[in-house]
Amino acid sequence: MRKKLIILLRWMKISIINKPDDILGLAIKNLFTPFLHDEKFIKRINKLNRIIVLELIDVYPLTLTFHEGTIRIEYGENPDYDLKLRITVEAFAGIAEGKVGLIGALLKGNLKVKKIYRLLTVLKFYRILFPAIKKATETPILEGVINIL
Amino acid sequence: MTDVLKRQSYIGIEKEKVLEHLIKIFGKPNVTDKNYNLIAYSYDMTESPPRMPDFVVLPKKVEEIIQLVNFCNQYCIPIVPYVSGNNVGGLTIPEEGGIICDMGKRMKKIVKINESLMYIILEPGVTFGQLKKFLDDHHPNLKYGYAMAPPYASVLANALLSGISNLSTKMGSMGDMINGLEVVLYNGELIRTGTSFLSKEMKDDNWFARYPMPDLTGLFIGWQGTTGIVTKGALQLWSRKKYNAALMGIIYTAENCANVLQEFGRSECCEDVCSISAELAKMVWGFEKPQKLKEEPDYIVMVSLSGATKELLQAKINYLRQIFNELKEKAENKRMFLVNFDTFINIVGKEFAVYYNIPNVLTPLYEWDGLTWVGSYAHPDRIAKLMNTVYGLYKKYEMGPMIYSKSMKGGHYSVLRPMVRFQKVREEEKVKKMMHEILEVMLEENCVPYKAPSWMTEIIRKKCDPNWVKLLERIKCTMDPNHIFNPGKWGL
Amino acid sequence: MSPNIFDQISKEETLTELISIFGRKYVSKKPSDLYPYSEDATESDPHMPDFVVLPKNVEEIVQLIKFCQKYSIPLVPYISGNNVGGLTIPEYGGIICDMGKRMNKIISINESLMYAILEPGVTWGQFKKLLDEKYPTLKYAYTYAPPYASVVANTLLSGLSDHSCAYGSMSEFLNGLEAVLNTGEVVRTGSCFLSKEMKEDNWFARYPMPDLTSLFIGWQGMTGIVTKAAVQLWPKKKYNTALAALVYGDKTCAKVVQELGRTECCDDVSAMSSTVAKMTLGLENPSQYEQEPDYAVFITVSGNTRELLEAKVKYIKYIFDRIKAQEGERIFLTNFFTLANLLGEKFTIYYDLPSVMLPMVEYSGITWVGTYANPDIIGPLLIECRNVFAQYSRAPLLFMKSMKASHYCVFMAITRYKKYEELEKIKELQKKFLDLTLEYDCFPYKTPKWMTEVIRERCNPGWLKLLDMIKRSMDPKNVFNPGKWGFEF
Repeated sequence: MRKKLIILLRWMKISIINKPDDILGLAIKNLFTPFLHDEKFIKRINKLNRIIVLELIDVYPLTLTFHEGTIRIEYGENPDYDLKLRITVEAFAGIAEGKVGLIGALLKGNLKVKKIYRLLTVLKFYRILFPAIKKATETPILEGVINIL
Repeated sequence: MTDVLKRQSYIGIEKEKVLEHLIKIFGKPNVTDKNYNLIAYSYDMTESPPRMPDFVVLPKKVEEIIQLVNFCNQYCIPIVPYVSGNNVGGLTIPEEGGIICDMGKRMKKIVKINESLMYIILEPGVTFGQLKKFLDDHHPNLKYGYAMAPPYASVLANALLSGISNLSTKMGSMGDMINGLEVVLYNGELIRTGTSFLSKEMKDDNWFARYPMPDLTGLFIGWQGTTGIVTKGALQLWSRKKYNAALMGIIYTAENCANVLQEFGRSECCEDVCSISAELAKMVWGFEKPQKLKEEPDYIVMVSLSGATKELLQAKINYLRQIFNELKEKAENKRMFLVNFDTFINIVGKEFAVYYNIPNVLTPLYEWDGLTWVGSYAHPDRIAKLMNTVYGLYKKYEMGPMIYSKSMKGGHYSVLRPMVRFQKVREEEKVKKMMHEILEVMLEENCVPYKAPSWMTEIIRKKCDPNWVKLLERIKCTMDPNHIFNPGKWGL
Repeated sequence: MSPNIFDQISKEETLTELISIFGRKYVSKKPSDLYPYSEDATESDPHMPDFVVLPKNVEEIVQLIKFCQKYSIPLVPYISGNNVGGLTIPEYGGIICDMGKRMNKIISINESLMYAILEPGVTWGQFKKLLDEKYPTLKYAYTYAPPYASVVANTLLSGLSDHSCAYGSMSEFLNGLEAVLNTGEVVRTGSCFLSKEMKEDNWFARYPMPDLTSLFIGWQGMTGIVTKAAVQLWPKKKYNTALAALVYGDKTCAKVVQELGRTECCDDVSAMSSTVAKMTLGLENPSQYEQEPDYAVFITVSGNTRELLEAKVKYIKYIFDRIKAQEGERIFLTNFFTLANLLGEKFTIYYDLPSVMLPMVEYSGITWVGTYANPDIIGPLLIECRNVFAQYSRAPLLFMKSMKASHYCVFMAITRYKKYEELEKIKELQKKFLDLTLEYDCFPYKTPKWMTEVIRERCNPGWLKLLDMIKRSMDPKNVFNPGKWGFEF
């Protein structure tokens, strides 16, 4: 009975179980928060039980631990990661602005993936993170401001 | 020597003793009471009545000025600060005799330049020509705002009198370019205003801003030397950009000219937008009393702009063209043309470059012995009306219209300067009448004259807020209880 | 011991007189009404006033001043009390003249000459709303202040704005003002002086007459009560963008701010330590991880054409890349919009001014040592300030802004704190910051009394004498805001 309840709860929402206190962590939290009740998102999270490191090159790495429907966002790199993505700031912003895609970033060398043989994990993570970024940036917050860079 | 005028001067001392004392302070070669020396200081090119000083001294150091001020304050002897006498307002003519303190001859050091904070510390005698050469030779990345004035005119005096320059369309009055001043007060105290105040000894490396302390710098701006003797000024410099351009508008009607000035000023693309009447333009070709022929354009507008990159400069030029075309579209008289300044002078003659390559001696202005103007800060949207009215007055008095105008601080206000060159002996009375009429017209349109001579300030005092006058007098009495500093100016 | 300010007239008689000037409803001596005026969010010592009055018009202020001057009763001008400098705390009691409540008219806007005539109580929010709705082609320069803070006060105190990089201190935006002097005379300075009666259409320039406007700038209300001010507006440009840079290194950040300011392409270049940014995102006492960027730099740029805007941004980027190559430090430039989207809507408070910077106002205490500074020395100063914050186990809240194309800059070391628990410690901390900034030749603005005491000891004695001379001339009885700048009652 208890197990069934847990599974049911898991399917109702995802939780970010810690409050990150670094800038990148806060940004990721901000991106995920609108999706915590989204069915598709919940399904995808539940299928991803991995430790993933996301590093902005020349900035710092962030560890995202996906486990049983929860997400932990922590500053630094967990050495036992299942996957590591290293991306330049410009490519990250470019993806956010819809100017650059994953493949484009990979081909140009702006995105490097460690343990890329875990292709499925790569795809699963991509399908979680990058739609969140796209959604966040599709509606301009600032009125009358254009992106020039 | 003069007799003692209106107020009591030389109280408790004879003039012979004064001479002795001055020689003690400055040294014999730097003091004179000889008429043939004094006469040069008794008048200028304007219609202001001449008045002889009693002495002229040439200080070299601040300490000498302190001694002078202490001495004069003790015996109520007027001191008139003088630099080059090019103020076109009779501001250095001693209304009540006294001592001319000519800082132009020996106090002309460029004390220090701070490239990083972009300011320069100058003594009063530093001229525009001297400053430009210094910057061009040693600090080519920096520039100052140069006035349409001769190279031998004083930089600091122009700033203290809220003068204008070829950066004024962007930055406004030169008064706003002052970071701080060093001044000798009536009691011989030497003070510094602006951020340099924050040290017991006078340091030159921290004179980077006028604010935010209580603004004591304003006590010396626009006061025509009536509150103390300024011995140094820290003035802002600006980055010299790599790419520069100059445009010229050939304009029919004052309305079109005024619109171009205002809109170009508001574009925030230009460093300088000014206009001259056709007659003033034609003077460079040697016409004594140039006439504007019927179909000739009425005004020439000159525009300078710059950009750190070619794209920036081009983008500014494209925008100005856009504005110009829009104005042309709306104008009743569509005869207005925008060309490159360089092209224009290549066609009409290099003499015209004198209006761009400043500082410069605009020969037409100086080849006669008289030059005067009613230069005023004015409403941009009244410039056209003023130009037309003033033009009518030139015709009435049969003088060649020399009308100059400039857009100031992004189009927030303008300067209008109807000028008159004249032959002093023959035409002075006529010019005085004309100046009075022009002033009346300007005041009617809420213009505020700058570098106003005594006769003008007398009229202004009667028209303005009486409480303003009372406050002016109160501050003057505080700063100069014995009224020794340039007495007679602003009615003080 | 405080002087007895009611030795020439009793408090009761004073109350009677005030009521006859303002009306009973607009005068109070109740402690519950007076208490909010006795202190502010800073560490300045509290002092209770004796009365508060709410004037509606200049005539009431004239009568008030005449009365106070006659009986030597201290008079403190007040608008919203948001000056972060204790400037409206009545050092010697007396009367608070609160113009914020009823003297808040936007008297007129001159579109052609681009200026607005305001009463002192006009707030940022009020002003912005009117301009956005009725004069959409014009803008004013807004500051990092709440919408309920006063526009005129900020101008008179040489505050900053989101256009300071382009145009400098807010005092440079002033065309003129109307003030009531110690004699009760109402005077107008600036071009509006040129008429016997007040006209609305001639407040277009501060110069070229003798600059009497300066008698009220930076003087903290010690020379008279300003009842109107004409402030410059600017054309709103059609195209706007905002950039953000993440910067590692204090010296590098200082260099970025200075160089970008010098381009003369930016309306605003401001930098804040990443801890300030994190606070905005809800972290109470944020620390900075070793690898996190040290600063976020905000840059606003505008242009009348898209081409102009693009050319400016291209040049900014070029300068940025040059600094990156020279410094070898990690710095990244992106669109502000992108960063705000990633971090959340809260981040837009740095762009969408005026706004309430919640981190700054959610504690009971906020204070800073805000200074006009030499951009060259900011790098080392930032490092030293960080050390001081670390000594007190506090997150470094550092801010800097390029002013007037980096002719100078503003630097602030900010502290938010719990007033009733940490006051003594904060006073100590503030003193350390002041000593440090003075050592670097920075000059504090909106200086509270304790700071001016320190400054007076360091500055040029001749300057102090002149300050004294002018104060004595403008207010011989020292009735206007006594106690500020060392003018003891």
